[in-house]
Amino acid sequence: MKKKLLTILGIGLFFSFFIGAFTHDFNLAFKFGLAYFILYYLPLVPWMMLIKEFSDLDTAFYSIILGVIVSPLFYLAVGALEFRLTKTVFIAIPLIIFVLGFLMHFRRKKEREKPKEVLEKKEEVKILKKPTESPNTEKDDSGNS
Amino acid sequence: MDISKHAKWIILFLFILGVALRLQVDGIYVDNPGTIKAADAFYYVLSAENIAETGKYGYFPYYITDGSDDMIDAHVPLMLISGSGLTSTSGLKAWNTVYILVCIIFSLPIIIAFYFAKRLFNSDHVGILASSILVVPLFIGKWWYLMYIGMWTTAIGIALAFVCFWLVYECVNAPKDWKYIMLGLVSIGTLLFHFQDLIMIAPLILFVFFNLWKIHKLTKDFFKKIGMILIPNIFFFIFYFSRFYTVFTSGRSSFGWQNQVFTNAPYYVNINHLGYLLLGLALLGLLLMCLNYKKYIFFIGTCIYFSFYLYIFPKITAAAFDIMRSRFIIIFIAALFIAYAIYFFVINIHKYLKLPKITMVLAIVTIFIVAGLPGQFALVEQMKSQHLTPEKYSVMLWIQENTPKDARIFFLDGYFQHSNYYSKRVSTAPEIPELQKHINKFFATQNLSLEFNTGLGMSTELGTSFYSCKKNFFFLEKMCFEPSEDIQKITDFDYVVIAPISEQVVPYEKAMADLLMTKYNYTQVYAQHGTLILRGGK
Repeated sequence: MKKKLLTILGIGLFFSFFIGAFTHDFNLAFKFGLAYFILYYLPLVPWMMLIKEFSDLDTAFYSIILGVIVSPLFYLAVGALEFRLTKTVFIAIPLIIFVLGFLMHFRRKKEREKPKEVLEKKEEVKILKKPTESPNTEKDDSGNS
Repeated sequence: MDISKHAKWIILFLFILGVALRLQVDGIYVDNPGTIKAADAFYYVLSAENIAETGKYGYFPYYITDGSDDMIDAHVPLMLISGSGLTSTSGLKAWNTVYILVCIIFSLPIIIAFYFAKRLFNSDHVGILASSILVVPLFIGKWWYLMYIGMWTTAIGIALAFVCFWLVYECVNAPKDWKYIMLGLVSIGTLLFHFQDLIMIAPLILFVFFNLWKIHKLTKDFFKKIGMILIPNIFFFIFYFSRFYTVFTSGRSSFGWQNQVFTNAPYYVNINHLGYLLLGLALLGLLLMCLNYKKYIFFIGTCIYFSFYLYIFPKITAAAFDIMRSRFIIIFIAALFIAYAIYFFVINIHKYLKLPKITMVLAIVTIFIVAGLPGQFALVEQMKSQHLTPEKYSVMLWIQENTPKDARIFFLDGYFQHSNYYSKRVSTAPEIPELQKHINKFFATQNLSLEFNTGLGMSTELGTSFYSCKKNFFFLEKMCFEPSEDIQKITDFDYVVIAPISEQVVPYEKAMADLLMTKYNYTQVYAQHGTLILRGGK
């Protein structure tokens, strides 16, 4: 999981900074790379990771494809409602999408863990039951009951 | 070697290479808007820059609308907003950020072609071949025209329409919930980047609905899946519909019936621009698919629909101009046919000569890219010319810093394709034919004419969507603004910029400067790189 996340983020960072490098200016390249990564790549990563059948690269590709659509849709909503599209808004919206994605991710994880816990508890009960049963059977066997 | 493990890494490499090659064409200019090569792009960049500077979305900058700052901008918003976001947060100028976004989105078909071909032919090899065809296609002067000339929303719209096409195919042939959600998001993206291209895809999305109805009938599942596609479209209806409606009913995008006669224009491509070799391979690919038609029936049927939409429909509709531009999608679809045909040869060679398939595929990928590079180099060379050179841009910066916001500027020479709007003042610049008329008259009679047939604002470029202002959140009022007169007198302007264009024109420019200074009390306030700025004596 951690390795997958690091690979996906690594691809996104490489892609963002590689494009930034076309400015031939280290400072601008860094700023652009970071901006592109945060605004149009990062927000979709946790959401795409929810899709189980995706490999690392599938997740990266779909984050690139949908990244340029999803954040701008929310910018449009903010702008059309006549709120100012400030730097804070441009950064906050993708970060909110990102955090919501991660919350969703953890919720799913917990949901998946619940049936596991129930199964484990059932197994524990079975295991616990077995020693209590065996003395009885022993008793039975001994004919003391 | 197991190709399935490495195929996507190859695609990632091809995608990044594709973006890099596209970025190289117009180039990234840090100091001056050299990236912009034509009028459309000037408008996009200025609008994106305006959002980044003012934080206000949906209104034209006042210098485009003759000084009014409440004129509604009904153009599709997503590209402008996306670009302004990057400009606002990174500090990189809008002419670069918007172009970078265009290049990224215009390269997405490289990824999609892989997934599409893999789904269609169940082979990573065909996927890699299809992607490689799109990295730097032959005749890029034709296929990349929209991207490098500045018809950016159209370029993006066509790339996203291809993504929609692929998602429609996935939804019909291998349905999953996430594919419906993605189709919803990409379709709203297409609509808000360039809504005309969604018209091409809309019947296919309706087919998805029909298919869902066939499978689920009117059950809960049917409505759930339909909802997944439609819910993202709420963004359109709430936040953009009124603007869309204004444009749609303005006459500019009318869908009347009309018998069309076409002329050759650079923004139209045709199937023959694939070149004879690739066209032959595409036809072979189509033939092979037709032989196995039961498997490919939906794809072949869709291609027949596209043929109708792109070739028959424009002949009978008034919107032919817009529809024919969608023909740029041909290369994305043709890449799938071509890759399939090539793979047919690869399999047979593998069968008889025992050459490894991956070696052959990678060799062909290399050949495709190398073959496209001369075209790329030629295009980069051709696109080196700039409307706003650093010298010309320094004039613009001088005007921005040293003139009042309500100053009106007349650009006599050298500023074409609406580049004058980078002065960020209400301004006009006569187009070449009009200017030529004045120059010819001067050399013939030695008389200077002060009246020019040139309207203020970008009204000709922006169409009637320009003339509307906001009534309330949902409705716009049409024609609440009177456009300026077509005839403009040079002496009515606060500043006159006289920029050099050629040696032959210098006597005309000199005579005009002398006349303005001696007879109309203009004074020289700027003189650099041969450019003069005269301030009116009013």
